Amino acid sequence: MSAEPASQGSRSADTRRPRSVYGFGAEPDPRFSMANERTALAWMRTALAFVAGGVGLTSVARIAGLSRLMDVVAAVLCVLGALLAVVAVLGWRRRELAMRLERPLPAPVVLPWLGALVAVVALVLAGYLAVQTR
Amino acid sequence: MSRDPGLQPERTALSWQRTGVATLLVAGGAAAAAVHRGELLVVGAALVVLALAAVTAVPPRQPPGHASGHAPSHPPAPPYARLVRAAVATAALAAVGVLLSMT
Repeated sequence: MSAEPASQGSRSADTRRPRSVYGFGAEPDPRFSMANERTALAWMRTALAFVAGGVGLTSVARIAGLSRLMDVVAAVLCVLGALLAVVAVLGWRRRELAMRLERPLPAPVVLPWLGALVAVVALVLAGYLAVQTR
Repeated sequence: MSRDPGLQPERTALSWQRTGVATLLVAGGAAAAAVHRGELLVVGAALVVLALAAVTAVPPRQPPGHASGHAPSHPPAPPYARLVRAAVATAALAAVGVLLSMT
């Protein structure tokens, strides 16, 4: 396990960025790199779903005249979406580096938090609906 | 490596397409919501994000593989810059969403 760029035959100089990923280890199977790319994109779409939920919720809340609490939930959803977008990029870096160094892939730490957050938001909305329709 | 039976490049391109379309849809929805509110500043912000999303959705130019004499098995183009652009577009959309819920 060296800190030198992989010397793969005729390829002259690896100038790909970020150097903190491509400057280490050896080239993994391209199929694994592309799978990692698709994983990051799936996280990005999850982030977009949070933002879409926030924008949709605040719009519906305004049109239907719901309480300002729904605007707070909408803002929280948008902030979570922005955080997940960062998670998508950082996760790609961590996994690509782990593959290059032939280390085990990092554990999906964010995944249980994501599930918990979705559950909390769903419960808040369900509670609001229960109070409103009583 | 002659032909990848798993169609990895195609699947990755389609994944980018899904993400780009999703970004454009959310940006369009945010812009429509801002127009409905009559918040000119937020409308402007949403339009900027829409442009950013459009740039992300367009696939990058293929590197001139034949001209530089690469073997067909050379590693795929690094997706990092495009990934960061998609994240910036998503975060900017989130900012528009927060603005919408505050106004």
